[in-house]
Amino acid sequence: MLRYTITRLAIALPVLLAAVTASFILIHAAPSDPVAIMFGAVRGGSQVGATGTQRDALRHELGLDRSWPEQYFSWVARTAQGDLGTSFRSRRPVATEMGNRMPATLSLGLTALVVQAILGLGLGALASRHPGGFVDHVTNAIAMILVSVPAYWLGLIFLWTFAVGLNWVDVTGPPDPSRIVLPALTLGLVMTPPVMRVFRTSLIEQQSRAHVTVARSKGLAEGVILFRHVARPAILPAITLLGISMGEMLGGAVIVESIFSWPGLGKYLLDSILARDYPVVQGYMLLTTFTVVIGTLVVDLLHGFLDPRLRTP
Amino acid sequence: MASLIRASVLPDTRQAKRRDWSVGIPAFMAIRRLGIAGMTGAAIIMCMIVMAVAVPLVSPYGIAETRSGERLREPEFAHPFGTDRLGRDQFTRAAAAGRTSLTATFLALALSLTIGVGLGLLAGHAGGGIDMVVMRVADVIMALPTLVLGIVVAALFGPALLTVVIATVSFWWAGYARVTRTLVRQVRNEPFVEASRAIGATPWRIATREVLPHIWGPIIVMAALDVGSLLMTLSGLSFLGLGAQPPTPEWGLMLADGRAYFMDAPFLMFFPGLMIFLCVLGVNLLGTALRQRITTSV
Repeated sequence: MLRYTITRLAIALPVLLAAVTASFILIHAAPSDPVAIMFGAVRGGSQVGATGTQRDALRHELGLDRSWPEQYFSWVARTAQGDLGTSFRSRRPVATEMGNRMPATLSLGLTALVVQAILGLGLGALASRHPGGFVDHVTNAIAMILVSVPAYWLGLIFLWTFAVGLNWVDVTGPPDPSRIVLPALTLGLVMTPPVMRVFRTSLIEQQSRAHVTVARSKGLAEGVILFRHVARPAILPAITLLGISMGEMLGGAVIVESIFSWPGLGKYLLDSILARDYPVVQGYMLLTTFTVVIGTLVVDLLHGFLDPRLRTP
Repeated sequence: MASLIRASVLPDTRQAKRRDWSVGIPAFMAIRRLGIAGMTGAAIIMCMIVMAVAVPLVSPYGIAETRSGERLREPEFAHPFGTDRLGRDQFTRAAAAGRTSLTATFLALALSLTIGVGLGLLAGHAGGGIDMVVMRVADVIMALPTLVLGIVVAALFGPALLTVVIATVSFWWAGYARVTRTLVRQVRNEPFVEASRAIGATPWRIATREVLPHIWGPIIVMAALDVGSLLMTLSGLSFLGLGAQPPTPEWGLMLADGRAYFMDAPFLMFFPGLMIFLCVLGVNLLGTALRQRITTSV
């Protein structure tokens, strides 16, 4: 297991480095001058008073006067130490700013993950009982609708229905933990179909496996067969999908947070984009990559733990 | 997949080609064989296209025509989707937005397919270093969430519809490159490819005349299943203010504009969203039917 863990970590590192490099290239390929933006941001949009000397001083402070390989290596070194640069707007470290908003996004993402897991696994299991039957068709239709509905429309419909139409949710009042329900439901629902389909398919596959026939011919109780012999191996691909969807969730969070004014990372990213606060944009991209890589890693390790055959790659 | 291999061992390459084409493009024409769901999907898409083309031509209202006396009208016969704060007819605008959204989607899809299939063919044929570089780049891109990448690229290069299309294409090609390369690997040593190589055909001719017609089917199906999420990504970026800019009619942008009148005029956000939903649903229904046809025709 240790060796497997080390191999997995070794595979994750190049992806991280590639993402760090990509974000460096993106920022430097962007057709805008950070110094001009910083003076604009600091002085409320006007660049009056930014003399050539001041600009050069700032350019030097940011290290923009050095050659780009030099800039690249110092960027990689700083990122490795968790230093994501300084926000143009607040002049505070991006890592700190993002850390402050992390809990809101994390709680939203985890609640959505629970919604996704319960609905995905539940509906998948329901559909797999009688493939081609009525329930299978209904769940298939639900999946088709959920996969086609844009999150930004579903969220607004939820908001209108529950806040305006039914008046169940108070969106204007003080912050309150129950307000997580609608955004988490929106995010979880649109991400349900893949989990549902994969779990359904792998459950059906497992049902026809030899060890299930043996279990059935021994006269084991149906519940034991389903949970121990069918569901346990069938859940592996579904777990993979749940792990991979962590990154998609961060993307979806940008939209959902903006609809529900949820004070998380996604909303912070959008505000930063409008203010052209590029270090934050860059930091967000790195954070997302990091989350995806960690998510994949956790899934792989979990697989190795659940299925010893996978430990030898 | 198995059908490709089986078809390719037939001695007559022309006949083999014809068999493979039948699971690819002509599947669109064989509407009857798509089943009810696929036919519904095709019908929805046809309606959307007809609406996008015809409505702005015959509508009594201009796309950008404002009428100060008809602001924020509820949906009625004269304005099926209501009017916005400037008194613009939302039905006409929603139809015109179909032109914007559908054109952007198909442009993005065509570019992604060209780049992806091209690089996939190159990687699959060349092998070695080129193969490794292309595939590693594709791997890294595919590991990242598409929406975040789209947001970042669109944000850095300034908000515009074309930026969003380019941003989306810049990572959307990776999936097609991956699949194309795998398919090329499967057929490149088949007898008909070797025969073609033996008679001295150029690599370009082998790639475009022998290999590509054989692997088109699965790629088309994959692209058909992708159109929906592509449309949602592009409209989503416009919704966030990174794509189409006012006064361009675009569904995501109209939806975002409607948010300001959330309480008084919910129809402003309802109809543009409904258009996106129906469009994506139609494409997904058709794509699923196509996939079923390609897997059951084996």
